[in-house]
Amino acid sequence: MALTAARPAAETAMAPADGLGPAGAGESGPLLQVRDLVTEFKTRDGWLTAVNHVSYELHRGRVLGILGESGSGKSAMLRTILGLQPKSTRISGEVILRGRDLIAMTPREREDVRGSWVSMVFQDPMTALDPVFTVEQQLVETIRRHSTLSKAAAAERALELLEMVQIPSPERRLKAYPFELSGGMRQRVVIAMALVSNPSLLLADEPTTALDVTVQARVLELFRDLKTKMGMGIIFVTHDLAVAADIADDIAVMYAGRIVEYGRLEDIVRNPQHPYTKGLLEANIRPGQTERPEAIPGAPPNLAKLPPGCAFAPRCSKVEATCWESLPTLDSIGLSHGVRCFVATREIQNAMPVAAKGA
Amino acid sequence: MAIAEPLAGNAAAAWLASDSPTRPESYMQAARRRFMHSRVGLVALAVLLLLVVVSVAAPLLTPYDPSIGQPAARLRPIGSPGHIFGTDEQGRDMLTRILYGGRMSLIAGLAPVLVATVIGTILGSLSGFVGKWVAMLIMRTMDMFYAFPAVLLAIAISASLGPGLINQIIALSIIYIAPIARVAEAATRRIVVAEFIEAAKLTGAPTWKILFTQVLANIFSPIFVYSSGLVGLAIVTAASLSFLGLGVRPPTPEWGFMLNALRGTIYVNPWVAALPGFFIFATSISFNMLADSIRDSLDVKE
Amino acid sequence: MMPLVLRRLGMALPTLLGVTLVIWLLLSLLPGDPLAFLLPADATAVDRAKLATELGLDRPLPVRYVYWLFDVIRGEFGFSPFRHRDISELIQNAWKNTALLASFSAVFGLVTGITLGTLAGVYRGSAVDRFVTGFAIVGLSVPSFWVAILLLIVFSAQLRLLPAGGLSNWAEGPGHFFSHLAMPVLSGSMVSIAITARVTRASIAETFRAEFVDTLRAKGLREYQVLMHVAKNAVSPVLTTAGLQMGFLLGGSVLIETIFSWPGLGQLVFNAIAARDLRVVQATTVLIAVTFVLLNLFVDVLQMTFDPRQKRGV
Repeated sequence: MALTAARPAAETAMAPADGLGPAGAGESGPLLQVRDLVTEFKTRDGWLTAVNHVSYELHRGRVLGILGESGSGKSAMLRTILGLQPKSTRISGEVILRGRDLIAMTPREREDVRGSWVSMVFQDPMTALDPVFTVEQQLVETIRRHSTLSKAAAAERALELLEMVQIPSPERRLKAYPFELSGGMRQRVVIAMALVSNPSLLLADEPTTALDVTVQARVLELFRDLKTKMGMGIIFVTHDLAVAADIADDIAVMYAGRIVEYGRLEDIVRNPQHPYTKGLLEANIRPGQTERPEAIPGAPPNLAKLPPGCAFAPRCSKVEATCWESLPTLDSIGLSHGVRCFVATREIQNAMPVAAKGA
Repeated sequence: MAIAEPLAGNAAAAWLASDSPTRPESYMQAARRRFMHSRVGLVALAVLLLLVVVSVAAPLLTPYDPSIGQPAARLRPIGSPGHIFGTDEQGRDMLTRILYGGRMSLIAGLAPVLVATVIGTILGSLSGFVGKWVAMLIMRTMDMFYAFPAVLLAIAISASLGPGLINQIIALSIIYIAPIARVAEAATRRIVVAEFIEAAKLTGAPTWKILFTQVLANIFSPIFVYSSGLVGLAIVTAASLSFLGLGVRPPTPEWGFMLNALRGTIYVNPWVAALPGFFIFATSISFNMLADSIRDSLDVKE
Repeated sequence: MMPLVLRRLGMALPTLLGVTLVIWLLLSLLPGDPLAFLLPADATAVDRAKLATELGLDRPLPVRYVYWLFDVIRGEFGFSPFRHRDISELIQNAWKNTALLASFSAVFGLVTGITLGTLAGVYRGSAVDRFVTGFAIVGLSVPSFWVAILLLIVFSAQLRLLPAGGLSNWAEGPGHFFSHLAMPVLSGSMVSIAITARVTRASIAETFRAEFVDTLRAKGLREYQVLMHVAKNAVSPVLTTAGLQMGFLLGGSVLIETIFSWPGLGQLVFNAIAARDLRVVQATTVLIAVTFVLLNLFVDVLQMTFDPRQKRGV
């Protein structure tokens, strides 16, 4: 995992107009490397660890699905990558995108990166757009922020973008205010806005949760399209395994700010190991259903007062004495599969042939 | 008023999914506890209590008569022996007049808000509860009063009624009825749809009974918060009317009128002339701070 | 948008009628003999009746109101026996002077208040925020006439820098002009500054919490560009209070003009009250109230241009 991506070109491309274009063909290695990322923020109860030593990588043209309940730190992680954390926040670790560590950047550099290298699509399209500006005004200002296009040229580009996200009669929609559009249409506008500079990395924070089921399916299709046509890396956060299964190539399951299991989609869906992942799977019997049955009793822990052991222990059906005392490590249990659970790791080791155990 | 925002930005809300422990504490208990922890509110309350006490006990605290001066001792500056606040243009002791004047200023500020709160609450809750043409009639009439600059309306009413404390209180009461009625109406409309009111209606209880037992109990907080916020303003407005000669008649001391009377002496005895104004300000700001603390304690959104 | 503006104009008509009716009722019907000051002390009952007929006081009330209203519309307010002048003439000059003072106070109050409020709203929780918040509560509590007197004490009596009162016109030079305006504007706009700052701060802070602000930042917009968006979204409540503040300015003008001998409507009212010249009080009050209603109407229409829903007539 050599840091070959640190091309000098990346730095020179940070010019104000940052017309960076799609990820260069010459770039090798992962698009994004997140290493030991910790995000803590201050509350009345003290420091709260929202993202707890998270590491992973993402390659071009792949979709990483991040799965977890609300409060598991998945949204916080996206915001940390984007640099949208609240003021009183402590961050450590590295987020290396196209060879540059975003965490180490100045606030001004990060503003340049946002919307050009990395974009984000938010959960609720009803509130994600500025209500007092037209779609065109909002698109044009974004385009002009990241290019040197004239107003007229930017307006043309805005129209192209709306066509790309398959908005019917885009000329008319350009002049519309957000309140004149349906939820699905607004989400397409938000996505169009994220695509303005052909970002190499697209962050999606439950982008389909607030939509109707039929609209949801079409927006997911749009995301799949973007992945194959534009070759960008996508991190897709969701609490809905059915949605993740529909779009993701790889899955990371988060609980209480930590990754508790990761693997390829098949690993997670066919061979889940962590009791929490299993619980989530059981909760998602029918794909696309909006209300999940409550398969895992209890609520996620208070992130300001994490227990010393496994954070899932209080809700776990397989909990053992050690689970309360020490934190399990994220053990590799396959080529691309890992789990953070004493019980699961032991069971897998026991199931292995005796000869392999000694090796 | 100072909004504590340890988590600047909206991101925090999205991050904070942690559940806070619920306290087994009643609404009023919680409000009292919050108020007891508000330093500003407690200080303001202490200042106001002190003002009330000294103005009521004025005859015990000062040997001078508030309306009769000694012509030989006119316009003494602040800190003069025997007159720590100096004397006015008629040789009357300023401290004495300030103490006595506090009575009038406090009454002229508090009474109108009290009267307007009672009338405004009745009108507002009635129109919010009954709705239909009653609401139409009451609230459209209230709207009419909104079309006036409040101070001007008070001046016009006072002017037509003539000077005097009672007329001043009437004028000020009239201008505060409309805003209080609006708050009461909005609060009532919010709760009439609540289940317990529906239930009371179904039991066949008469309208006035539901209004007085259920509705009033539940709209108390927002109205109290709003009215308490008006007192500071009313103190200043009352003083304005007196300043214009529309309040109590001289020689009864009142801060607003004193300020006007001393206006001509600013070249001779400047800081004594500023004293009554300082007391109007101190009273008004104390009421405003108290009102802010009450609002925060009762946790009512503006 | 036009139909909406027209509808709003239509709504203002009953308000204006109501306002004039209230003032007319107040000053025509309340205790006190309207003829007492107009008649010589030895007037007979016949003289009385004659004057009453002349003034139309023998007609039924609704008729008297309608006649009066038409007089007002024509700018006909009658004669002031105390000033020996036509009231409309008195008012005309005074109105100009009040408009001058009030517009300077309004602009100064709004600009200062919005600036302070925006700073506090952007730097929430900072020292600037605490200062503005504290200043706002002081400004809300402080009597404008006391500020006026304090300013007089400091700048006229002690430092002898500014004239204690009176009006100046532009022809006498800008220095002269502004030296006469400075203290009336400063003391008169105190409340406006406080309220505007408070409302602006609250509105800006509230808008910064809206989710679309995240989208703006996610697009990479510079912080000042984000602020532009926030400002346009936050403007509505600020405009509303701006309209209401004209009420404070116009009402407060009675005190400020009296203190600074500014020959405007406020001083006219004050002198008329002292002389119990109720027709002048009536005329002036109507004029100020109508101005206030029209200003708020203007603010409402202005507000529509900031609200896309109203723009589209939804």
